[in-house]
Amino acid sequence: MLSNSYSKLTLDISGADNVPISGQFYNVRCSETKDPLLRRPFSVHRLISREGSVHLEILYQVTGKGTEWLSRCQRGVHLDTIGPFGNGFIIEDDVTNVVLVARGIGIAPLYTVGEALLKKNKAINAHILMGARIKGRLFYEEKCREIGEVFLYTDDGSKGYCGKAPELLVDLLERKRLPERFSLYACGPADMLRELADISERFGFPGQVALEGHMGCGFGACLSCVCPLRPEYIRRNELWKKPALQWSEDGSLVYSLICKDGPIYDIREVDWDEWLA
Amino acid sequence: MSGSPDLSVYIGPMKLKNPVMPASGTFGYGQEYSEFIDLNRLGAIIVKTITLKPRIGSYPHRSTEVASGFLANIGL
Repeated sequence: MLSNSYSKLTLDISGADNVPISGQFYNVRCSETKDPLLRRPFSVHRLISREGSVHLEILYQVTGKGTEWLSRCQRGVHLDTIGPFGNGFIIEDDVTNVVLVARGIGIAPLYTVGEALLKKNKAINAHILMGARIKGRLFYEEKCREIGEVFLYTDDGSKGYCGKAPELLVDLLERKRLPERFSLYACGPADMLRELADISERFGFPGQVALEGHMGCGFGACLSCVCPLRPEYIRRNELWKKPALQWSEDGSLVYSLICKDGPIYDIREVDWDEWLA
Repeated sequence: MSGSPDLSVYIGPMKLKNPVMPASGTFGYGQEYSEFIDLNRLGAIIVKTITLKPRIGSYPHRSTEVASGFLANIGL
């Protein structure tokens, strides 16, 4: 256990066919009975390859029956796990400055982005905005300092900046504490991501976000986990194929399956107004 | 007695090699599960609704887990 409600799980995935990339997730069965029924999705936190073995680290927060069961599992237990699923973060070759914005457990998929960038280019400047509602909910600060400069925030000001991540980001931009050009990677509540999208339009930087949604199967069969996109901004490339778009008859509305087309999206392609309506 | 048992069944004039058919709505259009099972082992696949024109389906959020179950309003 990392703190009062956050834990780390390490899975031995040596011999698995597919190696995950930053942004993907695994679906883990968190019960020996049918309650809870559905697997729980967990994002890739870190991948550690050593002497022929491959270990996957997952960070998670205990929030209900499934994660409570998981936190009580003993070392050596076999966990029924499927994955990796979804697309991943795009890590472009010419990126030298990145800003990672996380709230709470949102740091989990972003840490591996920072690590992957540093592995590619040791000259990368990473700036990490991480925070929580109160000081007692902060975690992983020292670990994140290994990959970049950390700016903490808490809603009540008990540690770091007093306020939320978007406010801190604007403050840093206005005080010129961040590079002029950078790419943003963010993971957290949808309302936080929406505000970051507005800021990215205002200040003109690109961004990628990791979305969460109510998932059923996790691999595109149940068609549950949709999010609305802005048709004119849909971004497709080799990694972001978007095979699971659902269009209205007149082509004006489009939904995307977070498990199949996502969970990573360009910050401007999500229809945030519709998503949060 | 030798060989495998004959599990074939008829639905009307249609012969299926066995009576195992994932129910509509639980199995997508079948292809989503192709990485997990050999679809050829099934007698049939009952796909989700197919419409003449595209439908966008229900607004999010479309599903919720309940005790030992799953409530869904996909709209497709």
